[in-house]
Amino acid sequence: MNRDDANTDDLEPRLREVLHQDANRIQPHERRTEILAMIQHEKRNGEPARRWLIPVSAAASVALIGAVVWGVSNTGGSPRTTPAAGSASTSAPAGSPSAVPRPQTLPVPGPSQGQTPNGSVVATTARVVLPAYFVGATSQAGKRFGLYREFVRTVVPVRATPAQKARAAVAVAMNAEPFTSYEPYLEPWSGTSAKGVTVTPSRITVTLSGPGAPGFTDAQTRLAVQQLVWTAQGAVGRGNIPVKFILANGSRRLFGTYPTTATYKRPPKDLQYQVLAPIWITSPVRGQVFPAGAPVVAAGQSCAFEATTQWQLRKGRAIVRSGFTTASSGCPTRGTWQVRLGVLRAGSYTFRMYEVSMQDGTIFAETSKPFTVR
Amino acid sequence: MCVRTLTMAQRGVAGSADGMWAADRALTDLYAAHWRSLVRLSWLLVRDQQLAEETVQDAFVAMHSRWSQLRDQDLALAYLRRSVVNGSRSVLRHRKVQDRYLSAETSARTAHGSSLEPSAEARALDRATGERLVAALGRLPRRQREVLTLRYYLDLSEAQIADALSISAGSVKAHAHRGLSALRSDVEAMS
Repeated sequence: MNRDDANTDDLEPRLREVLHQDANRIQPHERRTEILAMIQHEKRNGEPARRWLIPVSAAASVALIGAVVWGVSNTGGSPRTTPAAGSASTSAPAGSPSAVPRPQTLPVPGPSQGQTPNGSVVATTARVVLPAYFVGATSQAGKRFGLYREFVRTVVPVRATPAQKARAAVAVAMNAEPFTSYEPYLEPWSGTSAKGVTVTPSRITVTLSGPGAPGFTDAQTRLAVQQLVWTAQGAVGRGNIPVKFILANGSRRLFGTYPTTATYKRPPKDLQYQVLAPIWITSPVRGQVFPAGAPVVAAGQSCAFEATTQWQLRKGRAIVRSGFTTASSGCPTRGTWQVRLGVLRAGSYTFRMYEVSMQDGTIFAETSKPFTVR
Repeated sequence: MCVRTLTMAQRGVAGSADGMWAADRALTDLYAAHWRSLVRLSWLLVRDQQLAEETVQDAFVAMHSRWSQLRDQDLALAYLRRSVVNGSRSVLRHRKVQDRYLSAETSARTAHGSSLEPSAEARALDRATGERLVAALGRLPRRQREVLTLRYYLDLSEAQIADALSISAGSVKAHAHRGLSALRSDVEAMS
């Protein structure tokens, strides 16, 4: 064996080891929801869903940019606290084609168009799906609150910067009113608007018109601040970088309590149970329609004692199925869960997931989502 | 006129509930098994976590839409690898991430800075040697870097690498040899 071979023999295992250790420095975020949303978009529209807009060909006489940029949601779809690709999801079957979480449809303007000097038509705004967080009651008792995430469709300028996406997402998060008729969400930012967002590698600065609405408890306002932190960070997609607030009306404290001289971040993962609602149902989304004959799979996240939560499938007042599920992790680590509901008869259903207190048997946390099979 | 006679049938399968179900099933299985490793593969090539995730996300969406042509999880995985390599290459071309490669190494941060905290294992590693090797890998010509990354990170065979890069097995061997030689020289020169 010559010298080169000897060195190569040494180099190869070192290279293998170094590459694996280097690659393991990153923790890929979950993007299953975003992938499914893009697939759903393709099915509906018959065209690829593009995350970034492809430069328009100069030869094209009409350059109408594909303005529906569903994939942008991925920039903010990541701030889940726990990877979802755990054992619970690995063995589960795929959801049916229509079992794709869809963004909430809010009344937003459609993409707008402008005209270039040579007469070509280009889109000036694009519809995107962004994650927005809301403060909501974690059970019907209304004693505890946490953050819930919604994927909301909204409009941003074409080729929107992270700051523009963050501003759009923060604006959506501050307006909980469209959800309040069917979700237990509070409106701590009622009467307050997002004036602007700037983003640097080390800070997100959110300018608000005022300090927030009065009349909320400390626990609720603490979550309201976290709500904007999570939303802005999610839209920017650069991890847990500090968020600073500026109040345009000159106030120096959010809700009269939280100083604008400070910066705010998400808590570390082992404390995120103090902020996020204990149970999220990520699929089905509210009002989702499943085709009859296709199996229905419910999925979500939870932070529950012994990772155990219970579920019910209701049709009207009748409980048609029920059971319990074990998430991939127990509290304080947030885990993911899936429940295979199988093929359901046509009709309207509600999937309810809840956790019973081990101390007194009361409902500690619960959430539910209505959906339809037809 | 050259018409692929199976195309309509395949479309029929793809458009049917069974076809969709199979595509969804493949997507779920492949996602569970390979999402992380493919993102990490792309990250090794582009050094930007967000771009890597977007590249792999696009690959999964494309794989799903082409399931009627693939119809086999092994073929689909090979398709995913090709898509990820091509997508990563495209990212580098369009976004000129190459410039960030070394600076990302030295500053040890990416778009997801908080997720780049070194693990206990990484801390235990001889960091100086490892970083020198990674930096040297980053200086290799693109094709050599791709071949070595696929070979030593994913442990792919020459045939699999050839398929992923759309080159011959002989070229894979040649690129690997040149790349390793260059790496060895580079590392030795710095030591």
